[in-house]
Amino acid sequence: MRILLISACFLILCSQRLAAEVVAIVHADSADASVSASDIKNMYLGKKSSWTDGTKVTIYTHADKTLNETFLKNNVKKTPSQFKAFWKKQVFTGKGRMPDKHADDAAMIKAIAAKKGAVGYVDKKSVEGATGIKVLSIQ
Amino acid sequence: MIKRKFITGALLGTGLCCSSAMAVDMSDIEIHGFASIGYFKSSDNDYLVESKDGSMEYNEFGINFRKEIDEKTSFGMQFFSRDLGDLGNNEFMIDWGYVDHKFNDLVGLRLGRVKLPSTLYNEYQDVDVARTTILMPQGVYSISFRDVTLAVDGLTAYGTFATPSAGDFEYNLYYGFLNIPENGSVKQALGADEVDSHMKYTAGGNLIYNTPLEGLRFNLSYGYTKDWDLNATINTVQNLPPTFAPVIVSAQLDLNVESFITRSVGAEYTIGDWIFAAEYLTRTGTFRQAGASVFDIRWGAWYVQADYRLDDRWAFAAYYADYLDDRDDTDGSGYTIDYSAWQKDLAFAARYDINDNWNVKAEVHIINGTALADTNDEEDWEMFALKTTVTF
Repeated sequence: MRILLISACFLILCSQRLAAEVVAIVHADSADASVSASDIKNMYLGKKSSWTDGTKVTIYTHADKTLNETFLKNNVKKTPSQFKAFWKKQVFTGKGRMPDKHADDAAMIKAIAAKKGAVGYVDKKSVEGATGIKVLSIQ
Repeated sequence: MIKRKFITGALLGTGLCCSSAMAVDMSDIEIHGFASIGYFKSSDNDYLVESKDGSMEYNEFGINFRKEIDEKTSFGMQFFSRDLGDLGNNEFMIDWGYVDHKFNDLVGLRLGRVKLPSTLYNEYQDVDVARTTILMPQGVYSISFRDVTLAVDGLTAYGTFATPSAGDFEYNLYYGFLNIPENGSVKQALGADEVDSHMKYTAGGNLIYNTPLEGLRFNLSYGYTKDWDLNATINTVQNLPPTFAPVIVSAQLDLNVESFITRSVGAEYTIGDWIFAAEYLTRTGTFRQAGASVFDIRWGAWYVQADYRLDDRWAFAAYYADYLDDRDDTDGSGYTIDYSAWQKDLAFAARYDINDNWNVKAEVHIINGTALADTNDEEDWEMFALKTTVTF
């Protein structure tokens, strides 16, 4: 009975974590409030390098495994290992630099609020009340 | 030898100390590097190294620096050293070094020594950490000739044209000269003591079509080298009766190939944790001396490959690769030893990531034919390879 109870609690916790909704965020002054699915993918693959006002795109990744995997699979269409391999190729051919990784939602929000042109992703709940950023809608 | 081992240890140690993917940041200059050591053991033929006896004469080191000068311009350079049997001998060379200016997503220019854009993975052959296998299919991605095929000294143009619903197109165009090292693979292939190389130019490029079907992309590549002169000096020792000292006889080989052409077509499909790839490549050229044909290059190679990432630690891959020394001679009838005309390689590879910066790989090759091997002792043979790489 005890094992069943623990298992149930574990499953509930897991489902809550899996249910976390990931949203893309940008600097509050970003010229763009929405981008196409193709644009966000190309930004994370270094193929789209500027926003509509010409500001350089700077991509950030998240250290949270579930959050990272969800965002990359849904939007970049790559698994975390495929994404990492892609950027290793860029680094070791001089084509780009490894995206900065932020430890948690608070660090991600702080980094994006400090840099116009930056884009990252967090749990939707963390956006409430956050200043200096806005949600980027992906069409 | 002691010095080499010290360098190996020092670089490996540096990598092991790095517990996560990171760069040493010095005034906005990024520094990354890698170090690999490997081992080959084959059953019946020597391949790449003296592998029949088992050989650790295989290592690779690279360190690169890159700085973003402004939002559109960057400069970077990578030093590379390797040992692969008689090749490399751990002499450091500039692997790539160029200024990159990206005007916009449609057009960018790179000036300097730039990785040669060709096939699906040519630019990334050195990036061991980005793949599962140790050896890529050798007919297409020859590790022996990497000093010639990997970079171009000149100019490249690149860009991406994205469409709303029809996928996107990436292009890379290059113009310049191939770097032919004096002590590299060409010298070894000709059995020469000295090699001097000149060419009028080399030009080409590739077009990658990322289709609307997520994960499916195609690659088309073409490379053309014009008026390539290879002046080789071949010294042979002529043994005279014992009372006389041996005499070294020098022969001069002045080769010219009017056009050396590389063509390839490939496809890659990524679905979930799987990556499937297939490519076909040909290289064609006639080397002449004083107008007379000395030898023809009519290489043809293809492969199919499957790669699977099981979890954060384990990845597996398998490929079947076929190489023909003369793609019009499929049964080796024009060769003294027929099976030296081809090499068919069935490979199985496993990779284990100890952490984000350190991996260990092992693979088995079941081979028929000896076209790429150093000896022709047996038609059917096997090879085992082991390699570990650290990056920072």
